[in-house]
Amino acid sequence: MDGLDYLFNPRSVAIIGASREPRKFGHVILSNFVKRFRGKVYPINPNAEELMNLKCYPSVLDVPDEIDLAVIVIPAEYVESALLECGKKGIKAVVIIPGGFSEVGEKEREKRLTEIARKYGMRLVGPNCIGIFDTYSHVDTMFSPMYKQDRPFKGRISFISQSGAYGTAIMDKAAMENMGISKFVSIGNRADVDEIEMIKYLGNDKNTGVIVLYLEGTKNGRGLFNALREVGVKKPIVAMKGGKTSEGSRATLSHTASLAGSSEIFKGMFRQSGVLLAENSEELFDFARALAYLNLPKGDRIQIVTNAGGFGVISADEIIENKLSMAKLSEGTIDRIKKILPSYAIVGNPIDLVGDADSRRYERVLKYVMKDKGVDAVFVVMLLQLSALESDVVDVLISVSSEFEDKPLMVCTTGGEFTQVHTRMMEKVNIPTYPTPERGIRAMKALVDYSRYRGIIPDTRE
Amino acid sequence: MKISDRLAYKILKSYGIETARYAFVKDRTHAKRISKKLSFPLVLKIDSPEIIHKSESGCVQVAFSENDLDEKFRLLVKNAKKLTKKIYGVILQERIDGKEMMIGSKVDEQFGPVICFGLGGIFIEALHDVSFRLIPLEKRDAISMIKDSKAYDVLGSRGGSNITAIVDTLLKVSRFIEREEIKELDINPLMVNEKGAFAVDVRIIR
Repeated sequence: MDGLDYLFNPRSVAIIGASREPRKFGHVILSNFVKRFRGKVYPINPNAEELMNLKCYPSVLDVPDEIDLAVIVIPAEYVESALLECGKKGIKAVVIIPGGFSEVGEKEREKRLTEIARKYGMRLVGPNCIGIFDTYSHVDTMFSPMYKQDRPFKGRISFISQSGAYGTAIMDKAAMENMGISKFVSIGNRADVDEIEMIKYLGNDKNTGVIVLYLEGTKNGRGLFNALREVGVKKPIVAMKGGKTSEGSRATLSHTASLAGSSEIFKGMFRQSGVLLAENSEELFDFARALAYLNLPKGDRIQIVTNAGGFGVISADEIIENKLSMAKLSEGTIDRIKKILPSYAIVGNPIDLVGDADSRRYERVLKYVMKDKGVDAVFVVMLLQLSALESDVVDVLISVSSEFEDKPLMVCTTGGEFTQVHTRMMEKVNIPTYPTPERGIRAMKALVDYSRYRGIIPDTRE
Repeated sequence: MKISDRLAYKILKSYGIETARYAFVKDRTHAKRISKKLSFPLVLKIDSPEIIHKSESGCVQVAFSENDLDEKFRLLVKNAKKLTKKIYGVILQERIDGKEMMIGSKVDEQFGPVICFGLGGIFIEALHDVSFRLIPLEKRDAISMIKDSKAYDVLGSRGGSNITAIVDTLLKVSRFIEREEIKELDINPLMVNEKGAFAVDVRIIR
């Protein structure tokens, strides 16, 4: 096992700073493990005999069995000695939750942690982080209680975040929206394990299909670039750079230096390594969902199928705006579709099924569209407010998507509670669904860009 | 420290980067003699390590004929002397028309040497339209960074051959930065026309 494997797949875990006080992080983390983790759990607290029906130990050194992972949840000034004991115990990996290190100027204190970890060959995540969340192994060091923050279910999206709180909020939202997650890692101060090593690790992780990255800076730019390039040809990486205000405006001798804020250079570096660049946090996961759920398109010709004319027009505008192509249906397809549609429907691109379209109409038309060789991907707009359209349209979309799984199909549906129920249903069966044409087509563009980067769509840009 | 323009142009040429036709001269008689080998209008530029922003201080002049040359030369040197005594000489350069682009490079704290491309000339400050890549550059990087910039739209649908010339120049600049110890570089403007891409003004900080 690789050192990082012990972070995600430990057989046993010690919680240093486990607590009986419900509001304490050490309590929440212990309870996460007690509830879901299948390996052994050892609470460590010198002032308790027993916690959540588990025997409590004063130190990891008192635990009679082997420990793979330790989670340290005690104040910064006690972390060093606890870590030393972890080293002596032969623990393989440690997550250090508390802050109070380099982020507040205590660089020496943090350096000592790195030294101890190196000396004993332990791998370290943090300090000053949320740590690790894995839907497969149920390692969960997120210290927000489950009644306040839901945990998402299993999926193929893994998220590396430099900001812990941001990651926690995203996990909560992912749970509500039925977005499947594989792993979440809050890397904190990066005293040992950094984003570079994590990217490489997730690049080889069989449960990760897409890597999402939130970064504000890096300590090793070239290392990051090389890791992204190496992993980016295996699986898609979606990234967002936090801290966009330009620091490049200081007075300098050359124009170049004055234009080169770190965001601009990050952006270029991401483009160069095939990373899909998200402009905001919505896009980060809009892109990730499309890439995680769909196969890559073989071209950029998009067909719109809608039951609302206006949304068809907006979608077409977005396709042009994003430099994608409007698909042209073959004459054969047009004839076949015309035969099954009422005379007032419009067959072209968009295909307007008009307001009285029911599920059956969607099904018959979509099957012909999916078969058309001039179509590389399909953008389905459906407004569920219209009375003719029933919930069984979800079944239609599931069956069409799985029958033609090589051709990406995404859905746009805008609306309130009723619509959102259906959005969650579709999300659960991995049909990426977006609340606006703008967001949907941007995700489509990301899919096309990545397909082009991988050479599935030939690059004819010269 | 900014290296002399004379040396800067020489270095560019040695890496195969095209420049506007030029000559370096020491004085007015030298200028008159050399100007017969070039074609008017000629752009006169002071070569001084102290003068960074030349056009704002009257240290760039245009001579439209041989008569004009004498007068403009005198004016140029007069303006320059107001600013510094350290004057290497004057660059006489053929004027080139085309679309103004820019290529730059600098050493970034996090990523090391980087290169950028975008709209040049007067647009540079207003539009901040530049795309960056890390050096060394591959051909596909050069193409994509042009596409990422608004310059691509400015070049228009007939930009094909121009783009090849810019790609070629970007790759040469990348190689140049890889081999030489350069802190910052500006080629601005890089004039792009149907004949190719030409460095018209260059600034190299070592």
